[in-house]
Amino acid sequence: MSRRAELLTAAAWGAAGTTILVASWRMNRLDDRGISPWSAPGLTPGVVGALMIVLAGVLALQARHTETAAEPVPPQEAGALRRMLLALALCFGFAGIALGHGLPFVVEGAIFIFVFTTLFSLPVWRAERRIKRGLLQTLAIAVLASSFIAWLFESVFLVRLP
Amino acid sequence: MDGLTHLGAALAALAGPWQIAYALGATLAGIMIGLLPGLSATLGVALFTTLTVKMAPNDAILVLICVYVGAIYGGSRTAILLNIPGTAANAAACLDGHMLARQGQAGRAMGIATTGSVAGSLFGVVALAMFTPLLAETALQFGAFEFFWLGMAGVMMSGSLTGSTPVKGWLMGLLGIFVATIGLDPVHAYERFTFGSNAMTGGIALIPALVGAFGFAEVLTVMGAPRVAPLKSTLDSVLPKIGDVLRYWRTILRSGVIGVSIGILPGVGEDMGAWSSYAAAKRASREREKFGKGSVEGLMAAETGDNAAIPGALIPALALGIPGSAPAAVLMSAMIIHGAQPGPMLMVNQPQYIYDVVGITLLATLSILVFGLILVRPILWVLRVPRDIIMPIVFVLCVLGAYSITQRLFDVWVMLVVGVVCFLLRRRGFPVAPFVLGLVLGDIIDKSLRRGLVLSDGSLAPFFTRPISAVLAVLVLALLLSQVPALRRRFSFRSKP
Repeated sequence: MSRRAELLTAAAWGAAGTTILVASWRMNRLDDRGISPWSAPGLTPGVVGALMIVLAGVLALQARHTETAAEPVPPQEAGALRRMLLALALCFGFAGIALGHGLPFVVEGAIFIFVFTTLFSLPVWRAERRIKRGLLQTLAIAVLASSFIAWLFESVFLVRLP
Repeated sequence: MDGLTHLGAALAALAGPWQIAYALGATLAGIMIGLLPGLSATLGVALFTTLTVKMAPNDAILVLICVYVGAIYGGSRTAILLNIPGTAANAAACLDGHMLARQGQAGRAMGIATTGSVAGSLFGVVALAMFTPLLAETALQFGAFEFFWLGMAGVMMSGSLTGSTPVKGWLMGLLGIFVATIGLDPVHAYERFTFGSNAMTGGIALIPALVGAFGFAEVLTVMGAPRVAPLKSTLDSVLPKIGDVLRYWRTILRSGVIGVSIGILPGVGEDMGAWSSYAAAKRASREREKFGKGSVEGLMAAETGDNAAIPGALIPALALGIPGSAPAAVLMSAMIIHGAQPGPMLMVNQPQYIYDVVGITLLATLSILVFGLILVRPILWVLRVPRDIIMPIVFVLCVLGAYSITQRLFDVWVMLVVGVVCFLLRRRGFPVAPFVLGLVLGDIIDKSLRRGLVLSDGSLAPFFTRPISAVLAVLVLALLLSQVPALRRRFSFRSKP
């Protein structure tokens, strides 16, 4: 990681520590209940925030002493970021948006598995000239996997599915 | 004598057909989880915790320990065949295991891994039975001061040994402690950092956070990584040669001792058990030039060390309530969900429980022996399943795993947010294991610090002057001071072994 990125990371930790420390300091100390100040609810998070600030400072100092060209950054595989963002979007779309807002879980799960697998496997299927077979196999796997998982949680573990 | 009676009762209870079926099924599931690069033992135990909530307590713990032992063992397969450690604990096995595979001895390497794993685990089981009651008895004298330092030592040691730099590990540990303080304060029931949200009042539940940190974050990592070529390997015989076992008995014994000792250290874990055993074997070996080039002794040491660390990590979890590794932290939480109270009072209130865990770990060890010797080829099919199919199924399990404990969509959001945060931090070299330790130990650290200060009326002296507190305080401070450059140069501290 570059020195600049490391310094930015240290700054983010410092900001988080400061926020926690300030919020803990401003937290009610329950004096009106006659409670010992040493058991105030903000004590531990306050200490944690203070330690975070100190360690963020150490991280920044270490980053300043890091030689920028010490380790060559491996060339990232083309498309890695795109694949990661696609996975992130699909997962958030399924778990954060679709889940619990309409279709039964078993259907949503099957659609998610099918779409996820298809989008990531399509280039391979195209190269191997087996798009139709790949789609059919994926559909079967998605339906079977989603049905089994839904049955397992609902019937065996008695979970009311979202 | 009481111990033997309890152990006999535990083994008798485990001899039922259902218990054996649970053990075999869970060990197989654990091996498959371990086989798949990216799926860790911690994730396996966390996911199965959600699946076993409705089971009888001892059956649930049986399943979880078998998944734990199976996953650590299963990871060696991928290390040997693909040179990719199935779990972090198997990284040391890559060095010699994969070299043996490249020399056409993949089956022999697997046999050695099985022998080492079983020997290490058996050694650990004996240590678990012997030392847990002793440690629990000693811990009865511990007060808030000692528990505060024990908790801190767990988080700090985990941070020191798992990240690219200790400072990053400690920051993750502190983040875990902070997240543990969200919700109702355990002393005065005051709401902390809830921003008026009812859902936040109950705090950030451990299992959804762990599933996010180890499951969702891993799905994103795996999908962003380059594709791994599917397995096309033929195997020679996987039956271990008796000569290999007899020839390296000293290595097995030494690695067992090192693995258990590393496992007992709070928060350190199986990967350090493997690396330390490997390093010690290399130092002591007459054939050290073979290490890294396909050494049977090296592979044996690594696999004995990581598996011996599993029962080792359970010793402080049971006796002190301070887990020795990240999977042990999840397992300890599952024990609490199932009504046990790990800690010094466990030996007083539920003495049978410790021996139940001993018996279960023994059964798990026998299960990996069965699968290691007779089911190597059929199990390997799982490595041929493309990640594009496995990962969405893992994510669906993560979603339901997070949801199923309290059946709230809030927990699914916890899983998503923690997963993304841990994924981003991991990319910047921040390890996740100290975060887990912080999350699990945050409550005990918070309560012990405040109770200690109330007892001493604000004086810090007892934290440093009581004998055990003083030892633990010195340990934590030494870890901290080891990062001061001037002191590091003076005393030649090393951040990584």
